[in-house]
Amino acid sequence: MATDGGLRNFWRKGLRIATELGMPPLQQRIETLILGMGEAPASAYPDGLIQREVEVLILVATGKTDREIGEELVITTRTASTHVGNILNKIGAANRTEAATYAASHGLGAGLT
Amino acid sequence: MAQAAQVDYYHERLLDAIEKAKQVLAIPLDELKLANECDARYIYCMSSHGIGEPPGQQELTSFITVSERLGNRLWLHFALWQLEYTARFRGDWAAARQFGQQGMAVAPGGPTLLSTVQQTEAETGEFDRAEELLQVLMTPMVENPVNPTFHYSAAVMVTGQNSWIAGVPREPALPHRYTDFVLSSPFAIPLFASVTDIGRALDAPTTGNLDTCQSAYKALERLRGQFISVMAIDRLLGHLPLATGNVPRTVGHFDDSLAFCAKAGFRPDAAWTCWGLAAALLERTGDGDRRRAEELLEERAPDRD
Repeated sequence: MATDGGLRNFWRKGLRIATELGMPPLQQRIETLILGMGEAPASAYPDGLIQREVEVLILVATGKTDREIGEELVITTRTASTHVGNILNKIGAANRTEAATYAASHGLGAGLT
Repeated sequence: MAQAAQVDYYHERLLDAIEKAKQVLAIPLDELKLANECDARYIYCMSSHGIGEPPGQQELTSFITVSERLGNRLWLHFALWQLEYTARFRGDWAAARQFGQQGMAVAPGGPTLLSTVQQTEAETGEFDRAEELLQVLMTPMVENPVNPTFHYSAAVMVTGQNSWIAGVPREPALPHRYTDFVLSSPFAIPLFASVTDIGRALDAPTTGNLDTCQSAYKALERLRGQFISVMAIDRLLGHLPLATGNVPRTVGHFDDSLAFCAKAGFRPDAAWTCWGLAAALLERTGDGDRRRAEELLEERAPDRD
C-alpha cells in the first residue's frame, strides 16, 4: 500500500469534489472502494459524517424538527428523518440533545458548511 | 434556418446546429422574429452543452430576456431549463433547484425539465424526491400511450440514472416496454432514441445485463465526445466494456471523459469519472495490474479536477 500514493490522490480528488459539492451517493461509492482496499476513508468530518449529515446535524443542534430541517434544506421530511437517524447512529448519540452537545464539542456550528 | 438548426440538433449534428443557430442570431434584431430567436438560442445553448462548451451568462440571460419579451411560457420554461442545466453541470445544486422550480412553475409537467431536475435530487441522495418527480413525468404516458414522445425516452433515462447513482436497482424498475416502444418505432427522433439508449446503458451494469451493455455500447459509441441529456457519453461508454472485462477500452473512455469534463467545467461528471476509473483499474487485483494502475494515475492525477 505504501507505493500507491497516486491512486490515493486520485480517489481523494473524486472524494473531494463529491464532498465539496454534496454528492452523498458518490461519496459512499468512493468510500466503499477505499475500504475495499483496506484503507480508512479520509473523511473531512468526524465519525464518518458526510457533508449533508453535518448540515442536518447543525440544524438539529439549533432545535429544528425534521419537518423544519426538510423545509430549510429543500428535502422531504422523510429524508431528513433518515439523515437524523444515520447521524445518531454514527456519533453514538441517544437523542437530539446529545447530538447537539456532540456538534458543539466538535466545532460543528452554523457557518461551517 | 432556425428550424434547420433544430433538425440538426435532433439528429445529433451539434456543430451544424450551432453554426446555423449562429447565423440566425447574426440577423439584425429588428428583422428577426422573437420566436425564431428563441428557437435559435435554445438550439445554440443545448448544442453548446453537448460539445462541452456551455453557454455563457450573457447568452443565458439573452435567452431569458427574449422569451419574456415574447411572452411565451414554453420558451421561458426552456430558457429557465438552460439555467438549470448549466448550474447542475457545475454541481451548484441550490441554483439548479431554484431554476428547476421556476421552470416547473411556468410549465408544469414539461418532460424535458422533469427529466433533468431529478438528477439533482439523485446526486444529492434525495431519491424519494427523484422518484416522486419520475411519477409526475410518467403520468401522462400512462394516460395517453401514443407515439414515442420524449416522455418515454426520459422515463427510461431517469430510471436508469437513479439506479446508477444509487448503485442498486431502484423502483420503479426500468420500464422495458417503453424502451422497446421507442427503439422499435420508425418515427423515433434520433436524439430521443439516444436518450433511451442512455437509460438502458445506465441500467445494464447495475442489473448485470451484459447483452444490453454490448448493444447499448454499439448504439452510443458514435456519440463519443458529446454530452447528452445528463452525462458525458464517454463516461457512460467507459462503464459498459468494464462489465465484460475490457479494462483497456474502459480506461480509454474515462480518459476522454476526464478531458471533456475538465474543458467543460462539469465537476460532478469529473468526480464520477474519477471513481469509475479507479474502480476499473482495481477490477483486477494482481500486483502487476496494481502497479500499472498506479503508474497511470500518477501520470494523470496532477492535471485533473
